[in-house]
Amino acid sequence: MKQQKQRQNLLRGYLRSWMPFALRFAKSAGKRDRTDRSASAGSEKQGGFTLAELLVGTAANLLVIAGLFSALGQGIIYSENARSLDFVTQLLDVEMDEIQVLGWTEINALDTRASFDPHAYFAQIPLRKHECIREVTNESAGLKKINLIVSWHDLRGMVHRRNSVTFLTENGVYSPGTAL
Amino acid sequence: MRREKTKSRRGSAIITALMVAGIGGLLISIMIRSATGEKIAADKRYHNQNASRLAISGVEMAIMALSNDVWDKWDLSFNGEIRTQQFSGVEMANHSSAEISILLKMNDGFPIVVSNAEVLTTTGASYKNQKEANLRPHSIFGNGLTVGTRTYFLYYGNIGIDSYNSAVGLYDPFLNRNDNGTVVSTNLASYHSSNAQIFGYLGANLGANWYSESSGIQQASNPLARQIGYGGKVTGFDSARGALVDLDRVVGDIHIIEEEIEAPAIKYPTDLPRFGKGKKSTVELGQSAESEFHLINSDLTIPKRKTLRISGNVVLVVKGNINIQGALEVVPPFGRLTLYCEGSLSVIGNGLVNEWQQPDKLVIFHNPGGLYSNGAVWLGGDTPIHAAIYAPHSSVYLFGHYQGRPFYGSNKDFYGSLVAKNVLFYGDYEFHFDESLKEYVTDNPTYVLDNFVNLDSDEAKQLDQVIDGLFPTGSGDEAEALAALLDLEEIELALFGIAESGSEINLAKKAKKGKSALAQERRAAAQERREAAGKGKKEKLTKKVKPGDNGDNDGDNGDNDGDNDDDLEVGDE
Repeated sequence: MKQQKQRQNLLRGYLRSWMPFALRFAKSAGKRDRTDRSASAGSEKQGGFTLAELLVGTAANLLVIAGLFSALGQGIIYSENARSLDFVTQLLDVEMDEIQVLGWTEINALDTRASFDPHAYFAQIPLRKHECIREVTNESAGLKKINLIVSWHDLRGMVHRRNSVTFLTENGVYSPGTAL
Repeated sequence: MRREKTKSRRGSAIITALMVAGIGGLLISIMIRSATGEKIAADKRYHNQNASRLAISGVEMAIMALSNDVWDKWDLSFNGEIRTQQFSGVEMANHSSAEISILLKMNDGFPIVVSNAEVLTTTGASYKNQKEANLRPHSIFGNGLTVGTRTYFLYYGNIGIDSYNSAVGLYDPFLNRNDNGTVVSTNLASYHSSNAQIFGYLGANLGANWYSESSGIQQASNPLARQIGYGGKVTGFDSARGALVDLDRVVGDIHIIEEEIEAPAIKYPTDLPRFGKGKKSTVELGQSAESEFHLINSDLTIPKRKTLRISGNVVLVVKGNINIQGALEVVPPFGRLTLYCEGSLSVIGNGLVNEWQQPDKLVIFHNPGGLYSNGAVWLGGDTPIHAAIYAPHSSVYLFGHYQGRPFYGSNKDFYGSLVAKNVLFYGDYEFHFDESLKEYVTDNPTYVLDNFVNLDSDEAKQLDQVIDGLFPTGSGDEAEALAALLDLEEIELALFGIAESGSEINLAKKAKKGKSALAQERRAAAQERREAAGKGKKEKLTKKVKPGDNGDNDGDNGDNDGDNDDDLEVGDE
């Protein structure tokens, strides 16, 4: 009994010095009741949480945990969208570059509406259910409008759509090769 | 005492819980903030990229309007010197929209374009990009040789190609010889051990891997070696001693600008020249520096020992073939011939005699508009040719000497510039590009981009102000007041002062310096820019090949295996 008490005192001292909250939890588990009940009357009033404390604390923590998970989910979706958008920006850029270096004859030969394949530039496409469309229209005589449209679904199934527009003319800024 | 201590610990659980909640909240906030920031940054990149592309599109629109001389939707106020257009309603994804404001200053034939693109999102955010571009008119005689399909070097010929400047004087191998003998040809082919010695630059579509350090230039597999011959050279004054091919002078990826030239419409035909019956007889055409227009609806033949002398400024349109067996002379002090030949043109005998020895005095447009599919030009004769010939739909044969003996006349020199669909050098030949022809610009030239830059933030702000003034939205008195304040001079100064001298947009400076001083500065700045652009051109010439960007020329450049549809069967010539 004496040895047990000594051990408990030692443990108590240790916990008091390092982990006061853990000690409280230990007390509330009843160990203290078993050891100190005879030594000190009314010791129940000294330790443990009240029911209200427990309920409020648990509710607050549950709320925070729920918020954290929600934020995590939201953050993942946001990050995913940002990454997808960056990828789409890059895809639009590279596809537009490819069109711009075509000769005027080749540009004239492009279909009015056709799909283009992102796999031509990227081994992996981090987009769900994506669709890549190229539209070529005559804005006026000698001026072509190129509209590239990429649409995709995000994690929640929402459809996103981005495009890039440029206008090209013969012997313009992007004529291929050195203009001579 | 013990009781008080215990009492003081009450509520610590809730505090702890709240602290944990606080930390959690902070984490949530950081997480959301970070993710949102990432999304906003991605959005910005996307919109800015669109704005940048659209700003360049503004430059494209200006090039198109200039080159086609079509000014629909443009505001040509300010005497046409400054032209403006606002291109609005460009639909972007997610109900965003964009508009492009273009301001073009003609600038004595070297236009400056300032283009401002603005992308407006549904959230009201605006993304802008501004570009300034310098354009120049494209000269149809900007290169020595410009060949749309293929240049052939045939019959054991050693072909020398260099340049000189006729404005300085006659060609002189020591005093007036330059290293700008530019050859621009989609393809080249060397047959019969012929070699081209290009003292200048070469631009050709050589295929994706035309040069590699390991294979070297002289390997049989190298397309360039096969195109200009194994002893062929591309060098300049600045090339390393002993170098056969100076890589800084070769462009493996080109784009040839072709302009359609139309013969002038002449209502009444001229009678055919009637040569006398004597051994030598001469018919004169033209008398003064005033332009004279003549139309011949049939063939024109100048028989042996007969001469058609051009003594004035003559524009001659011949609907049929031209056969020169005698001489076509262009003589000082007023002689100048612009010849439009819609049939074939063959020159032997005394040939083309340009007594000025200045190529710009004899300009030939062959098969204008490409109306005849088999148009050809045969250039022989005894007299060195001084001419600028534009025949983008025709094959041009240059007859030189084969093992010391002439093919069709003793001449083997061409001075000037030549544009053709195919060029065939027969035997030894000397081709001298006249650099003064770079200034030759047609009435309605194609404009090409010299360079363009992004405007810096100060310049962009100033541009914003000018655009608000030029294209008032009607949203307030401020814009209208600004529009009213802006006159031509202020726009010029505010806008193109930006373009030319950066921060010199301060109107106070204008007052101090006076208009003429500023105008001088602007001209000087423009000149500097043009010079810089000239230097930049050399950098452009060194531009490397973009893989997959070279058409189908990768494996069939100048080969002798006859696998090309447009290969010439030499034996048939």
